[in-house]
Amino acid sequence: MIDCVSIATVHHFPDNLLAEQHSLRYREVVHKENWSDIYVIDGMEFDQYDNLATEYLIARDGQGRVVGVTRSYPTTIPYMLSDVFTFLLSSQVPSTPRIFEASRLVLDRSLLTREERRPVIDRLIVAYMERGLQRGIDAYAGFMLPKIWSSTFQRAGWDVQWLGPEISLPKTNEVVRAALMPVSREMERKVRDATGIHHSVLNFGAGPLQRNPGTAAYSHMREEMRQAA
Amino acid sequence: MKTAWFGKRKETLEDGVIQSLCYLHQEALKEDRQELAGVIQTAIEQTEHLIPATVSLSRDSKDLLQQFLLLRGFQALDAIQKELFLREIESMPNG
Repeated sequence: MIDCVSIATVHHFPDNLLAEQHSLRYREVVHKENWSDIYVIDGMEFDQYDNLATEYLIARDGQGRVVGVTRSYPTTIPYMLSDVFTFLLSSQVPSTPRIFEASRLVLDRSLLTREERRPVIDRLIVAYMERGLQRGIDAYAGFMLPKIWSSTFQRAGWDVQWLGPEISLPKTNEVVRAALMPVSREMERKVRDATGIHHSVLNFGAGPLQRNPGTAAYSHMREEMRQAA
Repeated sequence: MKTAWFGKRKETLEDGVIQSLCYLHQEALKEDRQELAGVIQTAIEQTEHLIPATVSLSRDSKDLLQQFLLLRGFQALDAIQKELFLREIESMPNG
């Protein structure tokens, strides 16, 4: 199963899954990958997109250890692509309740062998699709290295739509590409067929089976939209 | 040194322009001045193209720009979609 966790629901799960996924991210991206310009505290990595609006999909192994994580974040408030990486986009920056940003797909490469990683990725990707359908969204947006796109979402049958060309990041020179990952019943079928996962993978812990929070927004926007309507 | 100073000054200027235009766009919409809002929208879009990717905008500008994007997307919707959009941005925890 994949645990679907947010700050509002972390108490529905045993252990502190949020702290554990921050620790995993530290071990993998700071310790092993040497990412710079990100925040750390007590062996945990975090950034400004870890907050009340973030939802985490967390994979655990048979012993309950967190072995994989990824997260989603609304595009209705400043998010990573709109804040820092707009230069990756050839078209308009998505900003709608129907598109969420997907980021921080991280696996524990110490606990998982190469052979064990693929099934974990597959479950996380199916979880993205399931959760996207539950929340009624049209797509996720995100960016990553082209080889990661092909070894994760594309391999799992998800037809991504490029939002721009491959671009070298100014500080690291790593080449990345932004894409939209459409969420639909048809795409779900493709992903389930490619991964062979035909059952539900989401777990909401001891809380309600499914909790659909609203989308984050500026407090005054509703009034302005009423005017604009 | 002179170049760095000029660069910073130019960045501040660009930041100020974006902020002012986004603010004006919001005000025009509040007053239901659609035509003016349309003109300002075009100005914001053109200004965005002129600002190099390397410029880092202030938090205020990013917030205002995000609100502009949201309003622009909203305005492109039909009446039913607009109502749906408004419902979706409300917090509706059903847990």
